[in-house]
Amino acid sequence: MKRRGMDLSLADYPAPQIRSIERRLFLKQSLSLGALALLSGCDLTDDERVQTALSAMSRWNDGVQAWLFDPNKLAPEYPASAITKPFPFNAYYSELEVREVDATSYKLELAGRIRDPKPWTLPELYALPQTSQITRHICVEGWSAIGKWGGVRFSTFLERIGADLSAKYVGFKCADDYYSSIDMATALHPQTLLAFTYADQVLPPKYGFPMKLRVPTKLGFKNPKHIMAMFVTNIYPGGYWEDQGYNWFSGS
Amino acid sequence: MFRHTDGLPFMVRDRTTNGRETVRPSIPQYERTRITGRAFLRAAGSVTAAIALTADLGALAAAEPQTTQAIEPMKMDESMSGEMKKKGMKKGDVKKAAEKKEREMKGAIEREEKSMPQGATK
Repeated sequence: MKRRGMDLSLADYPAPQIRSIERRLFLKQSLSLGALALLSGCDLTDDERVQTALSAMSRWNDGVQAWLFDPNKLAPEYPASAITKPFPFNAYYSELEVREVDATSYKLELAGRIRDPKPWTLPELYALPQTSQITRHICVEGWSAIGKWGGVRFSTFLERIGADLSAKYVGFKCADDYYSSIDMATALHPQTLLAFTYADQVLPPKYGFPMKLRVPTKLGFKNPKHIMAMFVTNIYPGGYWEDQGYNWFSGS
Repeated sequence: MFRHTDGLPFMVRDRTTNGRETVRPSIPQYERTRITGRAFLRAAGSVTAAIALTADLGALAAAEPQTTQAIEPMKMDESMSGEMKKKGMKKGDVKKAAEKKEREMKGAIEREEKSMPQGATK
């Protein structure tokens, strides 16, 4: 009589089938060990070699996300009725500590792989063709909010300044000391804006006056506020949170 | 300067503002007034110079393109706001990291800029 279930022993299986079971067990155990290692906490992850390995994994992740990024796929847009009121303030400092940039003396500084790196005043920037969008801002902290931003398409601005559009990165330096960078494909995405307005009003200081980068295809921390300078480069520029271990590409 | 004239104890020899020598009665009250007047003029001159200097510095400050202010200065030693921070992170860490990054990137960015053909595109 043929034995079933618990009655079966490995000896009843042919050798190739046993090898296959052993391989599966080995893979399962390896995955469990890997997961356990990640879950075992800070002592392990504080180790420099582990940090290096995790950074390498994150950079690999960036590469995969960049490969998967479709420059023509648009982020969802919403009706005005969907706008979140009030739009949340979020920064590494309190609302009372928001930097107020002097509009009259403001000049956007440019550097790197740019043919015409002359600084731009606000009236010059406002004179560029403007557009607006109602999109969702998604924060890595786990919340999201819908808002209306207006400004010039970043691709238009990059073309106007003679940026090397084949370069890899665009970096930003902000009045609140924050810094970040994005990949060129995202910079040229049709919904990536150099935003000067929020809800059809000049961008208030708490939302990043005189301008913020609005990138609806990326997480909130990839949308720098109070931009004072930008540069185009082939050298990986990182960013404040990115250098602390947050994923650099951070698509939303 | 003024000095008493010989033989005329109540008169003093003095010079007018355009340098001509003159003689006038020595009236203590009058002299005090002149001294006060001179002190006043000197003080006014100093005030005018100070205003002019302040205006110049103000103009220089206005020429600085990146002036920022906040309702409250950032408390750099305070823990960061928000949920992204890790244990022990302070607000001042961002500034330090930005300065370090600036030092690291500056030379390379300048070299990249020099490698670009320059020309107005606006």
